[in-house]
Amino acid sequence: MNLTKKHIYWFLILNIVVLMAFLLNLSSGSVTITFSEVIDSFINPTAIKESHYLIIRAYRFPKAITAVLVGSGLGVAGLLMQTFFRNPLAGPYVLGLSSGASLGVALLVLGSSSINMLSHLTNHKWSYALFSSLGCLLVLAGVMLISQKVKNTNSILIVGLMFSSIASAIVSILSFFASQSELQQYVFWGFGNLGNLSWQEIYWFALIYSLGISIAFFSIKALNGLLLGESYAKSLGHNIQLNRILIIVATSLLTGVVTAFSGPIAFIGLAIPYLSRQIFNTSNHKIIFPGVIGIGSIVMLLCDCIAQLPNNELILPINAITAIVGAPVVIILLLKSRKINF
Amino acid sequence: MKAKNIISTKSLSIGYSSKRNKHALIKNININIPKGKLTAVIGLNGAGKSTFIKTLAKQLPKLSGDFYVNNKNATLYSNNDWAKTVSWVQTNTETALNITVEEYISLGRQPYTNWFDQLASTDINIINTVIKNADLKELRKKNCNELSDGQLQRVTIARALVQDTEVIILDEPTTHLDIINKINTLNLLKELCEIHGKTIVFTTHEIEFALQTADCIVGISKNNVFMNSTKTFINKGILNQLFESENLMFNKESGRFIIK
Repeated sequence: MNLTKKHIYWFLILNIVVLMAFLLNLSSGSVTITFSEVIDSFINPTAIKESHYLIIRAYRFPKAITAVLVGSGLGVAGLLMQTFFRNPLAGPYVLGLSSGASLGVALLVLGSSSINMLSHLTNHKWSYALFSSLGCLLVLAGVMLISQKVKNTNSILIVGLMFSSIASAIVSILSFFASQSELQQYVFWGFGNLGNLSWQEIYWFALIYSLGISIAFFSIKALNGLLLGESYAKSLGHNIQLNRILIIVATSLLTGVVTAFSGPIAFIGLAIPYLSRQIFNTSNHKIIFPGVIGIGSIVMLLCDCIAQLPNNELILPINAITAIVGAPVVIILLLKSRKINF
Repeated sequence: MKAKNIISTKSLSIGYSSKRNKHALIKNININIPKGKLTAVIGLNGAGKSTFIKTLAKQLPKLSGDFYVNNKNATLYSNNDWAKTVSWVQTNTETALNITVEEYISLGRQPYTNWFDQLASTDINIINTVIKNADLKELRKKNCNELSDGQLQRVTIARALVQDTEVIILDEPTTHLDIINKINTLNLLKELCEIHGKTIVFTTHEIEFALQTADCIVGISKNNVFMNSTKTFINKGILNQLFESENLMFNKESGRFIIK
C-alpha cells in the first residue's frame, strides 16, 4: 500500500485547512481579533495591542492547542475501536470508555472527602489523567474480554452500553453522597471544557497523547491487516494477542487523557473516523490515520469557534456543540451515500 | 512413482477446546498430503471438514498429536515464517470493505514488508504479475465493496497468491458462486498446482466437480479421516460409504451421484 500523488495533494490541502481553522479559532471569541493581528502576535508582538497579545498567548493559543489534541486524540481512539471491532458504530463514547473515564474522575473528585489519600491528589491535574485512563482501561478490558466470547459486533455495542450504564450508576451513587462543591466541580467538568488549562497541564496532556498516538502509529500495519478480519490478520503473521493489547493501551491513553483534561466529549470519536472515510473514500490506515488527525483537529477547532459565540460574553459547553453540529453532518453524509462505508 | 509429501499428520486430534474440557471431533489422524497436488477435502455437514483444514492452517489450535509442514513441526514455526509457508482463504464474510482491489491484494505481502508495510520493488513485481495472471487488471482501482461474489473470490485468492507460499489452504472456495465461477475457480486452483507447483488443500461440497479436478481426496466421516488418490476413491466405491443414504447411489462409470 503505497501513497499516490493524489493523496499527497489531499494532505497538503488538509494541512492548509487545519492552519486556517487554527487561525480562525484564535481570532474568534468575545473580542474579535483580526487574522493579521493573530499572525503578528507570533512574529511581531510589539505591533499589536498588549491586551490582544495577552488574550491570544495566555488564553486562546493554549485553548486551540487543546482543541487539536482533543479532536485528533478522540478521532484516533475511535478509529482504533472501529477497526478492531470491525464496526463503524464503535467509538470511545458508545463502548462506554468515556463513562469509564468519567467514573475514574468521579471517584477522584467525589470520593476525595471520604478517602483521605485521594484528597491531596485532586490538586494535581495529572491525577485526573491517571484516574480517567484507569477507568477507561477497566471498561475497555471488560468489553474486550466479553468480545472474545461474543463474536457478534452488535452484542459488543450492547455490552459497551451496559458498562456505561453501570459506570453512570456508580457515578450517581457517588454524587448522592458528595458535598455540594464537589458535585459542582464534577458537573462543570462533565460539560466539557477546552480552556482553563495551564501550559504545564498541556505538557502533560501532550506527553500522554503522544504516547497513545505513537502506539497507534506503529500499529498501522496491523490495523490494515485487521481490516480483513482476525483470521486473515493471523494468517498474515500478525500476533493478534499482542496487537489487541497495544490497541487497548493506545485507546485507553488517548480517551483517558482527553476525558481527564476536557471532560467526556461525545460524538467526536464516532464521527471523525466516519467523516474521514467518506472524505478520503478509503479504509486504508496509511491514509485514514493522518486523515483522522487532520479532520479531528479541524472539527474541534470549528466547534470551539461556535461555542465561543463571536462578539458575545457567553460560552456554551463544548460537549453540546460537538453533537448539535456534528450529528446532522453525519446524517447528511449517510443520506448521500446510502451506505456505511467500512 | 511415489509423490513427495509436504504436510503429514501424526496422531493428530482435532476439535474445539474450552478452558474446562476438550471436545475432540476426530482423533488419531494420520495422513500425508502430497506436494504440488490439488487435494479436496469432502464429507457430510458437521463431519469436521472445516475443523480439519482450520487446524492445518493453524487457525484453530490442535488438541493433541502433531503435524509437520516440510518435515518441520508446525508448532515450531514463528508467526511470520508460517505466514510465508501457508496461506489461508475462507468463505467471504467481509462486507463493504472500502479499499481498492490493488490495496487488498497488496496486504498479502505483509509478512515480507517492513514495520510500515512499505512495498519494495520485488513486492510490486509479484503483485503486478498476480494481478495480470488472475485477470484482475480492469478491477485494479475498483473498491472491494463494488465487486460481485465471483470477482471477490478471485481477489481473495489473488491475495493468497501474493503471499507467495508453498501451501494454500481454502475453506469452501466455491460456495456462493454460480456454476461458471465454480468451474473457473477450480480450474484456477488446478493450474496453480500444475504450472506453479503450489500445494492446495480445499474443502468442498461439489463432490462431482472435485472428482474431476482434484488429484487426491481426503474423506472425512464419523471419527475417521482417510486419504486416497481420486481414482482409487472412485473405483473402490468409498463414496458410497462416505455418503451413505438409502436415497443416493454413486455411479462409478459416470462419476456422478444418482437418486435412487
